[in-house]
Amino acid sequence: MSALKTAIKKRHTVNLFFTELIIALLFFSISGAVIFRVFVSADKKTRESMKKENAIICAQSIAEVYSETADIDKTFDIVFSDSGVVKSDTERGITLDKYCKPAADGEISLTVSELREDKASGTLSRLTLVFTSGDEEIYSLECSAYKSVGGADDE
Amino acid sequence: MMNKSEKSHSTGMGVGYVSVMLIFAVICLMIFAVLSFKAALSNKTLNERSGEFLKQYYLADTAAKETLAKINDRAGELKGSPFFEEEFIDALGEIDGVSAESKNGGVAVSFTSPINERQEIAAELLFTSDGNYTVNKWQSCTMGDWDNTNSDIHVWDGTF
Repeated sequence: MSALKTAIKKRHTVNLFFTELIIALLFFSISGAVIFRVFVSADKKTRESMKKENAIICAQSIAEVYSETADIDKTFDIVFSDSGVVKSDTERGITLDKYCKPAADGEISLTVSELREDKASGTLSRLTLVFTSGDEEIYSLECSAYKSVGGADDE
Repeated sequence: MMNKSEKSHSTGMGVGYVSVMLIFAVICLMIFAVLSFKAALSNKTLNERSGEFLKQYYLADTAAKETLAKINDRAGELKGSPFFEEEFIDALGEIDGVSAESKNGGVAVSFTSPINERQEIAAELLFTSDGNYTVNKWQSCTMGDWDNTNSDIHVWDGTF
């Protein structure tokens, strides 16, 4: 009788062990999946914000150079060394990598369009910059430049 | 030789300690994951705000350049006139937000262009009778004076 009781207790102990093991594995696998998902989301957000940050810096560079030159081709030459620029009558396009440097196989496209307004004593030009990655717009900026006919001096 | 009480208290292979350590590791990983997500979110929010400010700044800059174009057109119409300063100041009275006064052998013109509710672009130019102008100031500055009545930061005002 005592041998039978011992055998039952032993089987009960082994069942408890396997139950605890299964519950622990289940808990760790679910937790691991949640943690992995959170890390992947954080990495995705970091990549998106890095692209946007580089696009903002590039847009500001272009806007500042354009406000001085008022010439879209000269601006591209100064900012991008005129590499890989696609030209049409009113638009310029270039492909950039994730650091907004010119790259033929880059993932970011920059499209720049210019609109000129001739005034009586000068020309006011407006530039529109649009950074896109695939079909998604990352950043856009509108800036301008004014060139007086008589010229101006900046102190 | 084991007695009966020792046999009955036998629990087989123990996994309790390992489980506790693994639970602790999972909790640590969870905290790290949440903190890294929060940092990425904060960085994204900061980038969006700086991008938004840049857009506002260049919109204000464009509006200021449109005002400059109008002023320069008036100067171009009146250049060479013997009463350039008086006529130019009268003509600028028709443009909103522009102030002008005779100064330093020319006409000093100043105007502002708001960027947002706290900042604006302030421009000062000097026009001469030949229709040319010099940009003396073109910078962003805060609007109004700083109000420290609701601030807990006590800034020293320079007096002892």
